[in-house]
Parts: sequence; C-alpha cells; structure tokens
Amino acid sequence: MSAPSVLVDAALEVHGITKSFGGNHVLRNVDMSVSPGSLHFLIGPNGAGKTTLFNVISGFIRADAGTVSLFGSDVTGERARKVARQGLARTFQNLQLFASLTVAENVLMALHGQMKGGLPRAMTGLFVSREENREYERAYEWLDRFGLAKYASSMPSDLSYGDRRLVEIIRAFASQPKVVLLDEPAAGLGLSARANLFDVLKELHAGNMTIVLIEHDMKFGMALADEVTVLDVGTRIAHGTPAQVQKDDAVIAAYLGKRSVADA
Amino acid sequence: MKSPLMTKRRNQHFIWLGAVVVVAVLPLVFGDGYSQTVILTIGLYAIFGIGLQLTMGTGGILNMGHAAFIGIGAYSSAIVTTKGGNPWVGMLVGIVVAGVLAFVVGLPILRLRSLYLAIATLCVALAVTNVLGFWTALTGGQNGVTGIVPFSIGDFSFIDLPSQIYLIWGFLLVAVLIRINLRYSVVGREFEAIKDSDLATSSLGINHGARRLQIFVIGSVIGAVGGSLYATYLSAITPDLFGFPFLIQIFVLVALGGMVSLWGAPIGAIAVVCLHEFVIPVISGGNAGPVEIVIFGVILVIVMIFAPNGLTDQVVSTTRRLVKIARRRRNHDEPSSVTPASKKVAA
Repeated sequence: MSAPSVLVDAALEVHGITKSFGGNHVLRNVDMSVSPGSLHFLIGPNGAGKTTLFNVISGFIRADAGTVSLFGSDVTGERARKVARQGLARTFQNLQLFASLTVAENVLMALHGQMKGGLPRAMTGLFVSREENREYERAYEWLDRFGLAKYASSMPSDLSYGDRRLVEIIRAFASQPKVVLLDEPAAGLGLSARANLFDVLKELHAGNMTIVLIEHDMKFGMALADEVTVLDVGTRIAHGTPAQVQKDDAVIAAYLGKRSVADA
Repeated sequence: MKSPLMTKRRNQHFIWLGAVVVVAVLPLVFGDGYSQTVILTIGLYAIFGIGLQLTMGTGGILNMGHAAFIGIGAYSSAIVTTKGGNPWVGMLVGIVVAGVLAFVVGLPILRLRSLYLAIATLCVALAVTNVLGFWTALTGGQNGVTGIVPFSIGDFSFIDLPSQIYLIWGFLLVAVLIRINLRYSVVGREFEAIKDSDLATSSLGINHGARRLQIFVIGSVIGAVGGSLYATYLSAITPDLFGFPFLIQIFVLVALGGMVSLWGAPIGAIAVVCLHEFVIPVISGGNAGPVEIVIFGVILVIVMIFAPNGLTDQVVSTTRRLVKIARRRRNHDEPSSVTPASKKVAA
C-alpha cells in the first residue's frame, strides 16, 4: 500500500491514537491526515474502531496516547464542546436531533455560536431580536437549499427518517465548521433518500468543506471520496486514493476476500 | 424569503398574556371574597408551577426539592419582616438564599441523572424542611412564624384581597414572560436542547452542565419568589406547609398542566385549585384533609402512566399525531404526492 502523503497543512491530523477499553484494544497507533477541502472516507469492517476514532477526534472519548490537531491547532484531550468551538462538527450513528425543537430551530442551534446569548438578555428581551430573525432566516435558507423549508416549523418526529438524517447533516454544516465528521449518514435510508443524500453531500463538498465520512455503502463513499483510510481491528491498514485502496491486498483480505472493495 | 414563524408564535403568547390579564381583572369586578381567594391561590400556585416546570419540563431535571426553595422564599420574607425588615428586602433575601443554595447544591448533584437526581433533590428538600422545623431560634421551629408583614409601596400596602391579587398576578405575568422569553431565545433553546441530547449539544459547543445549573437556579428562584408572596399572603407559616403533600400538589399541577407547555402552569394551577376547592370536598364528604393527599397521589400516578409529559402536552401531541395520520392517509389516497426529498431526486 502506498505510504500516506505527508501534508503540512492538514485540516485534521491524527497521530498515534491508541485507545483501549479494559483489555479491548480498540485503536492502535492510528494515523490519519485529512487534506483541507477534501472528502476523506474512513472505512473498515464492523468493530474496526471507526466510530471510536470519531469520538476521540471530537472529544467525546480521551485517547490513551496520540495527538489530534485541527488546522495545526492541538485539540488533544479537549472536551467535546471545546473541540466544537474550534470548528469541528459531527453527526452521530444514532440520530441526535432535538425532539423538543422545531426543524428550523434544530438548524438554528448550529448558528448559536454567532449569536449573543446571555441569560439576562434571554430573560428580559420582550420581542424577537433582529439578530434572532436574521439567523432564523439563515436556518430557513439552509433548509430551503435542500428542499426541507416546508418542514421548518414541524417537529422532527413529523419527518421521515431520511429527512431527519438530512436535518442533522444540515445542522452540522450550518455552523460553517472547518471540518465535519459524518458517521454513517446513509444508514437506514431508502434508495431515493440515499440518492438525495448523495447529491447533498456532493453539493456541500463542492463548497470546499473538509468532510470525513464513515459509511458502509462502499459505492456511495468511494464515488464521493478524494482520500480513503482503512482501519481493521483498530489498526490502519491502508491509506490512499479510492482507486489505490480498492486494489490493496490487505483491504481486500479485511473485507473477506472480496474481489474489490467497491463490490463489498 | 420570509420567516415569520417565531414572531407569530411569540405574538400568540402575548395575546394569551392579555387574556390572562382580563381573566385576572374579571373577579375583581364581579367576584366576592371567596372567588377572589380562589383567583389569588391560582396565581400563587401558577408561580410555583412555573418554577418546577422550568426545572423539570425545560431542563429535564427530575426535581423533588422544589417545595424546599418555595419554603426558603417564604421563611426569608417571614424572618426579615418579623425582625423589622422591609418585605421587598425579605423577598430579595429569599431570592439570594434560594439561588445560592440551588447553585451550591446543583453543582454536584446535577451530574446525576433520572432517579438518582430525584433522590438527591429529595434529600435537599428533607434537609431544608428539617432546618426550618428545628432551627427554633431562627424559624420558630414547628410553631413557625406569625405576623408576617405584607408588601407595600410607599404608603400603599398590599393587604386587602384585590391588591394582593394584583401583586401576585403581576408577578405571575412576569414569570410567564420570562418563561416565554426563555423559550424563544438562544439560551432557552439550549435549555430545551440539553434535555433532548447531551451528545448533540456538546457537538455544537454548548456547555450543557452550565445550562442545567442555570435552569435549576432560575426555577428555584422563581419558586422562592412564589414562597415570599405566599408567606406575606398567609401572614403566618409553619414548616408543614412546605412538606411532601405540598410537593405532590405542585407535581400534580405540572402533570395536569404539562411539562413544557407555556400555558401549562396556569392551566395546572386552575385544575389543582378547582380540585382542592370544589371536587375533593364533595368526594370526601367534607373531610378533605386525609383524603386529599390520596386523591392527588392517585391523579399523579394516573397522569404519569398515561401522559408522562402532562395532560396539556398529551392533548397537543395526540392532536398532532391525528393530523399526521390524516395527512398520511390523504397522501396515500393521492399517488402523485411526493416528499420534498424525492422531488429533489426527481429533479
């Protein structure tokens, strides 16, 4: 397998990440470098440690060893909310929408970082501020862009599963983060919703956003990816372009001897 | 592109506020002493309910200690005024003591969840009522405090029923306004969001621990304000007033009115006061005392089983579900109908 290209200006740099839960070694000395503006596809069989790596990067889990940096800024061991403030957004395998808030308010939550949010202001403001209206319109525009404006005032439970997935992804991108981690966004989606999601991700990626994607649908991910990292049993076994990775012997072996990863 | 939804929703609540004012004024024009007492009690209970609703409904904190913070507000007013202090100072002392206690206690216990948190807050309530009952030198022990001085502004004293109704309903309107403001603000949305998902709020850079602590303090302070008004209305208080039966009443209030509904607390207060004044005396044959707590307990159990988010919220969510089913059926009947997502794919 080709050696990973050494990028000085990596959007996301993961170096030597190791994580164990008791005697279970989930990640072993994992390196990953994500180029700015690229869509990086993180793959591996079940139990490879992909989501754990996401959790370490986003600050939900502390690694036993290794470093994580975001555009050169070290975020190793930082709490999730601090990593988020440094410009990292993510989605989750299990949908994490806010059930008590409308669809538009869910997206608006991502814009809170750019709004004045003091408690005295919240308690004493008699009317909706111009800022609130402006940001609400931005949230509405995000929904409109992906055909969901109609549901702006609906509750998430009123939407189909595919549309809820889209709302979560829109929320992640609406904060205009430096890097977005998407954890199996197409899981559980039907064919049409999957096709729609593909278009959405393609459009977002075209906006020069740096994206790291975990997805079990190989064709889906490979068609979008610029770079691929492959994990197996907590170890990185390959890294390169989609074409390189699909021909890699170690990767084919990890996927139970399939002829090509794209066929998996 | 217009996005008038928030403004429209908030305007609806301001209209509702106007309606509340009218309702509050009507008994003063037409009512006798008894109906005025009922109106006043509804106002008081609604304030208690808003405090609990904020911590439980908005913050998702299973708070069994709310009665203690109401008690702190009441006793602060009682102690300050009987020692010659101004009732407004008494209320301020209650706000500070309740706020500081909620902050100090909330810092460690709000790391807990669900039943563990409920037990911790219940322990706080027991500790406070014990202090109120046994620190005789300060609180008068089980005999309580008498001769609590009513609120006044200049020479005008809020001593008769109509003026006390204005005072209490005035505070209620402020509490409702704070609740509405919070719901449609950056902070308020974050309060709602932390209840739904710690993971998602953290991934958006929100400090959910700090927000939970803030909502716990705000809810407790509103409770203390209600307690202060309660004490000055009664002019005599004992620790029993803030015990477990009282807490059950406030729980029933929130359960009936709804955990998150903006108008839930006043609706729940009307329900509880009407139950207390008109229904329970009939059921118990005039001997309401021992029966009342049983009836409230049974109501609480039934509501918690069939409508855990409260009756009002249940009615709203059931209506929404029915509309959704009706819409699905209509869409099913129209094969050409498509979702926005599939429209986009088709395009």
